[in-house]
Amino acid sequence: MTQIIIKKIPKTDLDYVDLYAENLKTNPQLFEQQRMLINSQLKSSKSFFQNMFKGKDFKIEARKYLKQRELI
Amino acid sequence: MNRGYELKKGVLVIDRELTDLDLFVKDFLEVLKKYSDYLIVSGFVSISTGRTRATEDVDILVPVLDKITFEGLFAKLKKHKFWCYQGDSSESVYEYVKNLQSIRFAKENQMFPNMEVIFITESKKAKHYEFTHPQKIKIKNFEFKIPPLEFEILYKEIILAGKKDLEDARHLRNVFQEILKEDKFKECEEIIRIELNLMKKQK
Repeated sequence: MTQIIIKKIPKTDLDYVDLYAENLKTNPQLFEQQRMLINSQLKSSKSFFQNMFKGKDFKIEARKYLKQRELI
Repeated sequence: MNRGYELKKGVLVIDRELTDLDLFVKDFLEVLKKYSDYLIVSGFVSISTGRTRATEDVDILVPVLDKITFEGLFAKLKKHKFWCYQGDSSESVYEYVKNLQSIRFAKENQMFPNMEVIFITESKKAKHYEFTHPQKIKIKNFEFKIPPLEFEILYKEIILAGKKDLEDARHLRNVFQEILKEDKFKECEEIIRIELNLMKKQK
């Protein structure tokens, strides 16, 4: 189990950033949690778009999607 | 390495395993480096040093390329199964390059993550400064270049200044507080303030 040391009670989002960064320096397990989170996000995104464009030309559909959202 | 990183001969060594996002960036850089110099900037700098947040794109500065070099790079990226959001032919995409518009590459059959390639020239003073003062960072066998930490922090605090950027900056300040240098902050702030004034004038 990952142990988090809390020196002051976090209130704002920036307090949580501080808390995490402080703990990161002494607890390498947090890096492992970060790795799992990032890998999971990428896996979900890949699966989401592959299902969305299933059976169609991925690039054509992807560009339509990006244009609709004014990303290209 | 009891603070999660070490500074070894000027290289920032982070003690962690590689993520799939690292491997994506590493794959892209292995191709790009054969054609051009580069600098990884923005969100990935914070994420690679432990910040836990989502990202869809990895920003990378690249000096504007001539057409022949770009054709070679484009073909090699295709061979390595990258696709470009802006088009399938190097000829059509080069229009973006010469107009200094950014272009994006993702892996085939994937939308995200993508590498956002931002083309720069010496006329972009702040970008030119960070580009010419890189900090090397290494995670396992993956070594890449980022801006000086002090520059990255101030750029996020002063120029970008969104919630996510301020949090990224705070993360960097916290994690690297033992190695950040006050004189470097002063040097970088001067350049960033000039950029900010220019941006204000252009509005």
